[in-house]
Amino acid sequence: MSEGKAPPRERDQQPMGRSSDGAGTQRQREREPMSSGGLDMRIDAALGEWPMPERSALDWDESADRVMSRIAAGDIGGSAAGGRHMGAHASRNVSDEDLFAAPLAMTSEEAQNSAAFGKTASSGGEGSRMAVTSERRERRSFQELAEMARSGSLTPPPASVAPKPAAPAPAPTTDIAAKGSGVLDLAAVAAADPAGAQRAQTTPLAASGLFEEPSAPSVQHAAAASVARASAAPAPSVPAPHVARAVPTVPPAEKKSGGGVIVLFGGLAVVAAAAAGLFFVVKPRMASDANKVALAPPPAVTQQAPAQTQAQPQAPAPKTDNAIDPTALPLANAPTATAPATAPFPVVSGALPFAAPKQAQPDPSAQALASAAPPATASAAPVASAPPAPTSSASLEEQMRQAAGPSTSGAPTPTPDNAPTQPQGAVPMKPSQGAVSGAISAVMPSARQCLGPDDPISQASIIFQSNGTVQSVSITGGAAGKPAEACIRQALMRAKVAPFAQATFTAYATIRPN
Amino acid sequence: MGSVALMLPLTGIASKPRMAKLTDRDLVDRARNGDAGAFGQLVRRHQQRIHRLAVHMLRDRAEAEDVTQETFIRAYQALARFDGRSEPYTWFYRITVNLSLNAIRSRKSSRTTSEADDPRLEAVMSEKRPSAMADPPGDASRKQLYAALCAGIDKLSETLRTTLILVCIDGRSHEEAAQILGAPEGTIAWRVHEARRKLREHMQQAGFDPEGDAL
Repeated sequence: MSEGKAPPRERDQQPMGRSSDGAGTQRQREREPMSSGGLDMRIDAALGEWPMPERSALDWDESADRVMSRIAAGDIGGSAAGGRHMGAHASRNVSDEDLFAAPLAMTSEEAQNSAAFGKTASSGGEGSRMAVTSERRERRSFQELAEMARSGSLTPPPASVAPKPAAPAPAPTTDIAAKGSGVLDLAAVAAADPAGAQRAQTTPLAASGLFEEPSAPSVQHAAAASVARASAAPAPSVPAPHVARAVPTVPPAEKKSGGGVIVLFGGLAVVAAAAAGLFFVVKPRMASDANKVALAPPPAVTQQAPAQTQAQPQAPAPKTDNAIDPTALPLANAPTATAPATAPFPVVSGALPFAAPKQAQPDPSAQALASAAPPATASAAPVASAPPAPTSSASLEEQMRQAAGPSTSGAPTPTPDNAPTQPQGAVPMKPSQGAVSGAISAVMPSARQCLGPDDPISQASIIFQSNGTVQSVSITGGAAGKPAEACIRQALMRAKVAPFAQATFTAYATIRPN
Repeated sequence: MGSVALMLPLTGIASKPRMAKLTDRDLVDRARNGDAGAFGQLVRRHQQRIHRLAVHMLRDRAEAEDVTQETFIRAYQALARFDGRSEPYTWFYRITVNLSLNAIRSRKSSRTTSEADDPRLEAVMSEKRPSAMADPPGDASRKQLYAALCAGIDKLSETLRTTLILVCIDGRSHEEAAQILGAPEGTIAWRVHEARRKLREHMQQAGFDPEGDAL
């Protein structure tokens, strides 16, 4: 007997006791090429007719006799000839467990890739085969997962190691249930437990109006009617036992209370989200307002900085009509800012007035505050009375020294000519309102004593001079032209405020009788 | 003659026709009961295909001989473990595949075989047709085709190659291959599909015309 070339092959001879009904047809179908391409056909034909070297029947018999002789001799592992090729130890190393185990079982990757192939190529022949059934993947339906979750075993062990739970009494299921799609038929549920709706209506939450729909009261009735129809319907596809599993064992009241808690938490979440949204909407506006407030004061600085930067480029510029003679400017007011700029350049263009006058001419509010400053601050006034900037012949150090020196060594008070327009250091331009009020309040009681209880109200105009004393008092009103006028004038003449830069400051007061 | 005829039933030769009618399961049952001749019949019945499988798996004639013999020896020793749920030949196939894979994995280095010493190509290379049917260009093309197929099969993974050998070369059905390899039939089908696809790509890269139909 010679194996020879492929046709006819032993696969077509049915030598293994298998019936020839399905296997042969199956093999023919499985051998059909995947495509009509010529190359595929050539490959399939070549694979199916792969020739093997001819071997005589005597050779095969001898080979079989060798096997049997070894079996009879008890030779285990490694053939007489094979010991030198394959190695006896190589065969002996294979334990029986490994020898009979599935050699190339399905991998996880193959499980996904082979899903599309399914059992289309199966022959539907005989029953179970070796490890195929045990290796077959068990798919859990959503329904089974839901049951596991309900029972608390959310992370069940793999199907290969987990013992199958004792399944409840098998019940006929619907097509949907059989497929395990997880679809819950509410009508079937209602049909399985017709009294459930009534029980739910008796719960406290139901009494609190959980199921009420004020806007559409008829909907409830319609829904109840539909449930009633469903319950009255035969519902052949959903038997009661299956639905009993689907219907939770939790009483309806507990279920509804759980829903109420969910609604409560949902409401809280919505409120929190709204608050967060409001916060994020309002915060930018507040931040922008704060930025506006914070950015309001700096304009003087922001204007000053560019002026300084512009000072140097503009310094070499020729003298123009807008140029200010630095000799007329008090350098001490801004020594650090003006000295470097003015010292090297005797004649400075209009850039300098940007930097210095900003500090030299404070706004009126600042003047009011300065009037209330203590006299001690007036000692700094000599800073403002620094000598004029030297000419270009003086060195930078000298100019710096001259500019800084008088500020620390003291200097005479500014003259009244410079006082109104130039800052006077710590001396306010005019007395503060508080200082004026305090001074007048101090002498007002004595002035009131000049009036009788029935005398009319009089007004006084008090003129303070720069040293803080009252220069003159004029009385109008009921006391004018009367003896009380001199009394009031004498009383008010004792008022005194702190010195101020302006020549005079006029304050007004009303004298009422006690 | 009559004495000879009377004596034949007492010899193994005379018992062959009677035992040939027995199925593999019957032979296994007999072998379990101590009938070594029954198991010898099983060996003779399946050793050719087991040897073919081993040759394609191992690509080495000597190793294939060893694995073939070892398969039957180990099967005989484990006859008691055969539960009869499957056909005996699938059991032999599984043992052969396991022994072959173990031998391949035991190799210290991947073996490269040339066309000259490749047992799979031995029959193709030595193939001689009668002079009347001589077709030297066709023979050359045929040899070239099988050489390319061998190279393509060797490039396949262990899993794909084994499945391809079982299904496409040895002619096992998907169900039988699934029983042998312990994988679902769908997986077997996917493996065959993948192996064919890769083999086709290899053949195209080797210069074979995708639309050609000449063998």
